[in-house]
Amino acid sequence: MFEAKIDVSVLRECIETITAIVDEGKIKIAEDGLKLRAVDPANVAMISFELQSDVFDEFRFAAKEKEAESGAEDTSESKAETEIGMDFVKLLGILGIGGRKEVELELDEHAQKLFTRMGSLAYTISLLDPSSLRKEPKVPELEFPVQVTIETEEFRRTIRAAEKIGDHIVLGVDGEVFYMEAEGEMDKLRLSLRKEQLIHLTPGTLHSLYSLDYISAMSKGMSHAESITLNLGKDYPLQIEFEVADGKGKVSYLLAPRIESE
Amino acid sequence: MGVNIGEILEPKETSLEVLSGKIVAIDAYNMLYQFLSIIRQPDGTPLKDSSGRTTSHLSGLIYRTTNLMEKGIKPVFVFDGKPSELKAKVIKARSERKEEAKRRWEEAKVLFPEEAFKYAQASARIDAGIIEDSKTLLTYLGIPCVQAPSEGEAQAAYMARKGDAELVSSQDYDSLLFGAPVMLKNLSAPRKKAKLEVVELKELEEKHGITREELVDLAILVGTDFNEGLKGIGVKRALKLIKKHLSIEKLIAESEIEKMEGIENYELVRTIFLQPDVTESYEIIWGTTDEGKVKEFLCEVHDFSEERVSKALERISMPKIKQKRIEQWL
Repeated sequence: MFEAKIDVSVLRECIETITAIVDEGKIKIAEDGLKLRAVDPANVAMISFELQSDVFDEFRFAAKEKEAESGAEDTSESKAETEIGMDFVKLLGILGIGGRKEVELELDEHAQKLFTRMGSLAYTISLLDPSSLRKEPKVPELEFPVQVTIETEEFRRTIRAAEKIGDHIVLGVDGEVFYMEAEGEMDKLRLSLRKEQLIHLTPGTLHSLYSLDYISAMSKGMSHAESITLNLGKDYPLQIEFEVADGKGKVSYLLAPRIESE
Repeated sequence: MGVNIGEILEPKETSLEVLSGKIVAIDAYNMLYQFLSIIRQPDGTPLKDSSGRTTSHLSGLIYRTTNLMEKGIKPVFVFDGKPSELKAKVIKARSERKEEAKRRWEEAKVLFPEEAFKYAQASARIDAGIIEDSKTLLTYLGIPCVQAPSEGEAQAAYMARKGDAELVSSQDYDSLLFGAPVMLKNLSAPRKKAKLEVVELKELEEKHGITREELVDLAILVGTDFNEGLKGIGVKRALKLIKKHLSIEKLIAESEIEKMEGIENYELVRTIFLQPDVTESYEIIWGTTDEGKVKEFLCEVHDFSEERVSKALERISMPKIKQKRIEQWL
């Protein structure tokens, strides 16, 4: 059983972080909130998403009956969770047409449907068969030598400018300077920020190259966060972490690098 | 142009990265037409060399195709052959529209410069010289060209069905009617202008519970390049009719259709889509790029900037930048 009520704009903000990477995926519902981990169809990027139940105005969840009945599982009840297959693009579209402040959600697990209600508008979404969706990826084990925390707008502006130039971008740290660099057929762009212009920086010397298509998509997903933390390495994945829904939601993107080879 | 069934499709967004390593059969006329209509100066004049020959298509081909190749995509260009006689009417109407657009463009250049581009776009035409130049450039780039006996899209779809290509690229949805398992839209569009989209035939069939044969009948009701379609019947209504009656024959038998006007030739049109005129004798081999020839052809014959052409060529010959997959770190 799952029933919840939430501010439409908060839910949209959350779903938008997901649709930056995947159109559909498996979301886990538990007493403490929602979770998702998914890799994009090209296996280049991953999202980890967590939303605490207390961001909802109402949140009621109970695991499937058979589990509740077994009794022996009482102590681990809080771990019980339900997995549903969701078309996030569709959900986002529905949230966009409601014109209401609040949305009520109700899951019919048996019929595999999610009822959404915004005021007098009721929209029933058929869920996707979880077995037809991709398996949840493993938790990455990564160590990042360098960490940079930057204002989201600064980052997004640079990405927007870089989009006009080429299709990839270098992110790196040179001593106490963080830089972003894009070079195209004709033009070149560089943003460098010293430690004091950033919220946080671990000094170092390294850089990696990333696909702009992906970072652009991610930069749309992060638009509601004030700041983002970038974890970097040399020819290494980029991890972007930020909070949504007033700190009640945590998003982490992971993007595989591009590597120059002969 | 082509069949107007977009309303019942749900294209999925994709990216060039996802397509890396895939063979894409490109409807050449369709793409050249895109280049000729988009790549123009602000007043609508196409790019030209010093002898006045149009070069918009060459510009599109060199910069766009090298971009695809850089991403690891393997393009094959499929050229139209002799058009079906049924298309004559469409072709004639098209040609009249283009004449009209050309006239308006000339007028607009003087009177309403802000409208000029629109009319210029609509006046874009492909002639024999454009085809020949395109084939020459593609050959120098080492990209295979296939000559279709009739419709390029039909040939491309046939190659994809046989497994010789993985996707068919076109701007119109006829490819699906010709049986392309997966089609790609907006491959030729400038970055950020239009999203790159894929449509899977199987998904379409499953979503609406119809077969390709039924989809073709549906398209005939709505209208194709080969028939007018029934008056006042839209895609959604046609879908309902076909789902209920399964074929045009039954629709007629159960007298859901009063007038045959616009679909009289439905059996013939159906054959065009389901048993299209295609050839088995084609070869798809990617050669090496002959940089000297490309430069000579573009820079010396057609006055392209040497610097820009060199840069485009560098992108396909330089050490490759490879996109890593994330699994490596999971």
